[in-house]
Amino acid sequence: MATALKDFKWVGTRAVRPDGVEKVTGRAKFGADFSLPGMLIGKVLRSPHAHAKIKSINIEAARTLNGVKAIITGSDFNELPSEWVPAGEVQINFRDLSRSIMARNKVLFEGHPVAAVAATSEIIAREALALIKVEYEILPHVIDVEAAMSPDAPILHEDLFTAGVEPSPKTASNIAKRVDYSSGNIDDGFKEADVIIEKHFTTQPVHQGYIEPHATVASASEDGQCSIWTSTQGQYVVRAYCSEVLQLDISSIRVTPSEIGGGFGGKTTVYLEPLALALSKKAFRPVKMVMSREEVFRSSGPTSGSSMKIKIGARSDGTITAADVELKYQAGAFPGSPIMPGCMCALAPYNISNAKVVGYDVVVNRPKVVAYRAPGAPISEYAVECVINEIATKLNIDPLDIREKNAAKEGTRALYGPQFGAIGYIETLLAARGSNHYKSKLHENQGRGVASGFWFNIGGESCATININTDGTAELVLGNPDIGGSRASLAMIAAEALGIDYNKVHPIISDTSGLGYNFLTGGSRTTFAGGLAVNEAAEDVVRQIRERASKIWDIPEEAVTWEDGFVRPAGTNAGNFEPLSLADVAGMAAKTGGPISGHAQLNAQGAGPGFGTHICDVEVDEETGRVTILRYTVVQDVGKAIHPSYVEGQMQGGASQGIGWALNEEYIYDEEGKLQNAGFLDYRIPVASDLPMIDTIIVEVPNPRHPYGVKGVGEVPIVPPMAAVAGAIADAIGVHLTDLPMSPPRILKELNKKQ
Amino acid sequence: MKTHITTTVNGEPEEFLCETEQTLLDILRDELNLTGSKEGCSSGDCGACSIILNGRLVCACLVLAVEAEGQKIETIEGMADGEELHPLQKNFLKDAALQCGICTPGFLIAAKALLEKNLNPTEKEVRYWLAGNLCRCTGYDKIIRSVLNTAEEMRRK
Amino acid sequence: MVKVILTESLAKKYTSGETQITIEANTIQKLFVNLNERYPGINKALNHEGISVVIDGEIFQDALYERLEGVSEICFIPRIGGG
Ligand code: FES
Ligand code: FES
Repeated sequence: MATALKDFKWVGTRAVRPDGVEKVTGRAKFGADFSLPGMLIGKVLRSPHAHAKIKSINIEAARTLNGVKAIITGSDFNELPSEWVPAGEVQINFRDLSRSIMARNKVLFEGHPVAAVAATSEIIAREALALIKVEYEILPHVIDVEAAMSPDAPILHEDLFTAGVEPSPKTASNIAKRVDYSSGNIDDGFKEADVIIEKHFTTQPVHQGYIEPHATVASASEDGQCSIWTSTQGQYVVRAYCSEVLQLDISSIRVTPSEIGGGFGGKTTVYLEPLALALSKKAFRPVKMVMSREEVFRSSGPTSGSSMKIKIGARSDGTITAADVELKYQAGAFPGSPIMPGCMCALAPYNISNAKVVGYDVVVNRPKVVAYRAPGAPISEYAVECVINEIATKLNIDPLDIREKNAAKEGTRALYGPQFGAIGYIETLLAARGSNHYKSKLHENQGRGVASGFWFNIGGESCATININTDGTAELVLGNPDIGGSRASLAMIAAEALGIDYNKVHPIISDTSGLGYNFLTGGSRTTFAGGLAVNEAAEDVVRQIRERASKIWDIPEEAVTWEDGFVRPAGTNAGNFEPLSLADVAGMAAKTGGPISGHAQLNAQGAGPGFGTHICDVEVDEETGRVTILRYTVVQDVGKAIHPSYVEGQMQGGASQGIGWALNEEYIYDEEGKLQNAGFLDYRIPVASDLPMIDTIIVEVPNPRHPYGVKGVGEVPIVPPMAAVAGAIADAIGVHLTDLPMSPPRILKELNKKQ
Repeated sequence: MKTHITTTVNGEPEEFLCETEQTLLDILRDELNLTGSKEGCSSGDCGACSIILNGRLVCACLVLAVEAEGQKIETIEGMADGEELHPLQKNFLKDAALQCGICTPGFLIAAKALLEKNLNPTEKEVRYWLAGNLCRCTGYDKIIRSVLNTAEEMRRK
Repeated sequence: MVKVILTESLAKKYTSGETQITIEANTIQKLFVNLNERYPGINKALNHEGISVVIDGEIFQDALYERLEGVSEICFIPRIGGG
C-alpha cells in the first residue's frame, strides 16, 4: 500500500477532470436532458392545503381526456408496514416514504402529491390535472416546532406516540422521539463556572437549493423489466426504494444515473421515480417527469428548522465546566429529522466533562425533511458555537484560544461514546490563528467572527472495476454519481496505483447492473470509500499482471515485483528479463489467460472525522441593517487532498451555503400554512455579488485508515458559517443575535433596541 | 395553431413549429435537442438558460419561441470553434470552475457576453454581471477567478 | 474481556445505571447475545433504528462478524448517513 507521506505522481495534483469537456460544451446529459421515443409527460397534482382529509378523488373527467394515458392516486400503492428497516447505510420507514410521495387518506403539507397523470404532452397533462376533482376536509395545521409540541396542537398522525420516554405515552403526539446523551453531572459543573450563558436560538428550514430540479424517465416493459434514468445521488438507493415502494424484485429494476446538477443530500431519496414507474407500468410507455422550481420548494427538501436552548458554563480561564443543550428539530410531515446527529455533533468539538444533550424529533405540516450536508450538525453546532463566542467575549479571551483550550484531541471521549483517533481539530485552530486574515485589521462598523465545526464522515459499501485494455489504457467503472469531481479524484487514485498516465484512465459511472451495490454519494464518503475500492481493484489488477508476467517469463509469481508501473524479475536469481509495462502485459492478455480486470467490493470502515474552523469579517450598514461579508477563510483538516481544487471547491461551496443560511434563506408560510416564497426570487440564495473570494487553508492530518490518508471533505464546511457570521456581526454591533436568518430587518430591530 | 418560425442557431439556419405559450428554452431543448441550455427555474432567476439573442444576453426561459422569428441565437453548443474550445471553456476546466456543472453553460454564455463588451472588467464588475447566474456548488470563487484569468489572457493576445 | 460503553439513557433502563461494563465475547455477534443474556431487552433497544458499532474508536457500519481479539472498547452509536 502507498503511504500518505510518499510523493505522488497524480494524487495531490490539479488534473483536468475527465468529464470536463462534456460539461463546458453542454453535451453532458443531466436529468431533464434525457428522452425516449414514445415518451409521455407525467405531472403531479399537489395538495393546496397544509393539512386536510381526502374525502374523495374523482379522476373520471381526466381519464377520458384525449391524450391521457395513465393516472395514479394513493389507491395504486400498497400499504407497507410501519417499521424502520435498513436500506443501505440508513434506516427507512417505507410506509412513511410511500405516503410522503403519494398521500393516502390525509394530506400533510401543501404540495403533498395526491395524484399523477401521464399524457402525450405537457399541455394535456396539465389540463388533466385541472380535471381531477379532490374533495378535502380542511384540518387545523401546525407549522412551528414549539407549537407542534404543545398538548393542544393539531395531531398529524393518530398512531404516533413519543418514543424514548418512560412510561410509554398513551396519547398520540407530534413528538416522534426524545433522545438524550449525558455525562458527568451538569449541576456540579455549573457550580464550578465563573460565567454561565444561557440562550434560546431558532433556525429556519433551508433548502439544499440545487440548481437542477428533480427529473426522471421511467420505462416499464410488458415483461416486467423496468428502467429508470434519473438525477440522483445514488442509483442503487433509487432501485432499492422503488423496489420496496412498488413491491418489485430488485433485479427487475435497472437505474442509470444521469449527470447530477447538485444534490447536497436532497437527492438521497425518491420523489418522482416511483410515480413515473407506476405510471409507466399502467401506460407501457416511457414516462418523463420533471419538477418545476416551485415544486422543488414546496415538496422536496429541506433540512429542519429548530428551536434550541443552550446553557454553557466556564471558569474565568476559559475552561468549559458544563453544557446543557436542548434541541427541537422539525421533521416535516413524517418522523425522521436529523435530531440524532444534531445531538451527537452539538458538543463534539469539545472535551466537556459535564454535559447533557436532549433532543426532540417533531412532526409539522411541512414537507418531510431530507439530508442536507452534514444533516443536523450545522443547526446544533451553530447554537453552541454562538454561546462559546459569547463566553469568550465575556471573559475577554480570544475565540480561537477558548476553542483550543477545550478542543477535542486524540483520545478525547465524545459525549456519544467513542474516543477520537487521529483528528486535526487543533491543527485547524492553529492554522486559523496563523493566517494573514486573522492578523489583519478591521475598521469601523466591521467585525470578525470565528467558529468551528465537526462531522463524522462515513464509509459504506463501494465497488469498483478496472478493465485493462490491450493498449494499456484502463476503463474505471464506478458506482457513485459524480457530483463535484469524483471521477477525477478516483481516476487519479487508479492512475497512481497502476503507475499509468491519468489520461489513460477512463472513468465511467455505472448503472445498477454494472457493479454490486454502492451506497450513495453522500456523507462525504465518495472519495474516501470509493478510493478504497479503486485502490483495491488496482491491487487486483497488479496481482493479475504479476501472474501474467510470471507465465511469460516462466518464473514463480513471487519472483515478479511490481514497481512504478512495471513488472520486473525480483533480483538476478529470478532471471534476467527486461521489465514489462502494464501495456506490454495487457497486450498479451489473450495469450496469457484472457482479459485483465480487477474488482473490489467492500464496506469501507475507518472514515476519519472532519473538523474545520472558519473566519469571517463583516460590515454592518447601520442604516439598512444589511450585512456585507468582507472576507472569509475556511480552514479544514481533510486528511489528504487528492485533487486540491475540488477540495477547495467543497470548502468554498459549503461556506457560501452556510452564509446563505446565516443571512437570507428562510421559508415564509402564511396563516393557512402555505409557502409564500417558492422561487429563487424570494428564497434568496447567495449570488456572486453577495460574496467575496473565499480563501481556503487545507490542513492535512492523514487518516491512518486510508492508503492516501483521505478523510471526507464535503460536509464539514457548512457547519461553522452561521456562528462565524453571527460572531462577526456581534463583534461589529455588540449584539449577539440568536435567530436565523440575520436578515436586514432583524439587524435593524436589534440596532434600534440598542439605541 | 402552431406558428412557423425561422431563425439562425449557432450560425446555422433553423426552423421550427411552436405553440404560442412555448418558450424559446422549450424549443431549444425539446424540439432542437439543444439541451446544453438548462432549466433551473423558468422564471428568469437562475441564469442556467442563458443564451445570446442578436448579441444580447437573455434568459431563454423568458423569451417566447415566436419572438425568435428572424433572430440570431447563440447557445453553449456553438461556443467552441470546432475542436478549439473558447478560452473561457478552457479556463473553466483548468481553474475547476465547475463542480456539478449544471450552471456552467449559463455562466459561460454570460461571461462570454461580458468579455465581448468589456475585456478589462474588475472583480466587482464580473460579480455584478454574473449576479443573475446562480451556482450552489462553488461559492463563485473559482468561477470569478476563471473569468478574470480569461480576460487577462485574451487581453494579452 | 471487552469494555462496553453505554449511553446514560440506555444504562438507566437496562443496567441499573452502569455505563461501563466488561463482558466476554470474541465477536460482536456474540457480544450482543451475551449482553442480552445479562440485560434482557437491551438487544432490541440497541437495534431500534440501526446502530453502528465503534470498536476502539473506529466506527463500523456493519460490524456483526468483526472479531474482538485484542479489542479493548466497544460503544454503539446511531447510524450516520449524510448529505
Ligand atoms: S431557467 Fe431561465 S433563468 Fe432559470
Ligand atoms: S457547479 Fe453546481 S450549480 Fe454551479
